[in-house]
Amino acid sequence: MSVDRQSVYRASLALLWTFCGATTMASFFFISFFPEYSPFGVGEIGFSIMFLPITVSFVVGLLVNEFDVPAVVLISILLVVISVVIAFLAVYSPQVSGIVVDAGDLPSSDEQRMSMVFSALFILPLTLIGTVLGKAVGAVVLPSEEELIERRWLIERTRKWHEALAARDEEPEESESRPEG
Amino acid sequence: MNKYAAVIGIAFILVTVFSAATLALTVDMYGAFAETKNKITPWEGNVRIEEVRIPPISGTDEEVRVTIILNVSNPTRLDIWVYNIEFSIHMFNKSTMIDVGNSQAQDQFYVLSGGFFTYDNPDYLVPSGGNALLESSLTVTSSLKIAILNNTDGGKYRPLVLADMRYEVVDVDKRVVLRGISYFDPSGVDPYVG
Repeated sequence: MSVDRQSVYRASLALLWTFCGATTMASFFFISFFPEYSPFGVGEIGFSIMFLPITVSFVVGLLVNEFDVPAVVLISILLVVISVVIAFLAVYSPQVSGIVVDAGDLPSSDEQRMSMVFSALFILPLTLIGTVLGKAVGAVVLPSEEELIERRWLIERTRKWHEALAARDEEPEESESRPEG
Repeated sequence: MNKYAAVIGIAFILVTVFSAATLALTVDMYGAFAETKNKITPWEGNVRIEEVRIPPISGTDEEVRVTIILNVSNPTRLDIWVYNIEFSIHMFNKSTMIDVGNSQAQDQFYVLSGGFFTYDNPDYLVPSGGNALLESSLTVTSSLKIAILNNTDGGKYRPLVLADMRYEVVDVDKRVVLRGISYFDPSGVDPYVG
């Protein structure tokens, strides 16, 4: 089975946007839960749970608009999974790096970690909405070069068809008006 | 990808780089706080009672000032500021049987609890990689308690001191309560003549 280079390029680009979106979402998610460790605050936790997933996934949707809807849904699921993994890796990083042995010695409390888990559940539907919305808007506002070429070709072809049809429609009228004999 | 999408893509990458850098700094500080919380403990050997000062007692009608000197080492990357040292003191002699489970028996040897809070003393700041000797005192006025305190054994006091320390990690503005600092020297403590 051969995969053409264009498909690989598009898939790599989609992965790049997914990873970028996931990193941004995870960063703000982590910082909003632990603002005391951050060089600056990002406001309320609600900002990271409600507003940010929609915004980031909307941008991802804009950038992957050339994919069909099932692929966009898969991208949004991947976006959520990667961002949750990054956020939880950050939470458990002292344990992963061997600074602490027991999870109880982490700076975050059990309640904070549980509320992070529950908040992560809200992210998926919002991300789905954002990505699909972004895809829909992107398909209208930011079509790809290939799609533009295809659209121009279709417009040109349709115009030619119309001209050909118009020419054919005009022909019988002329023949009808021509006197016989 | 058309040129507008490319512009959005580049802006998105810049936002990602910025958020990743912020996440890295935040995780670093989070790890540093975890390290501080786990290293500044008695069981790591970084917090210990260096000395217990009890002056010679001549009678039960005087005020006796008991002082403990806490040795705090800070091997971590963050400065800490100790704002409270609280301790309780029990007095034993060689004939005393320490019944840990019996609080009534312990009360016979219990002298007093006390300590201090400091909110503006820069002397109690232990810088990163530094060491400090911190002092906390309590004054015993009750004649009954002074009698318990004056329970010497061969001219030496045999105090059991249990202390708690509260400190703030300066860079993160988070406070930590450290319990379980204890002191007992089986050979006893000489009366302190300041």
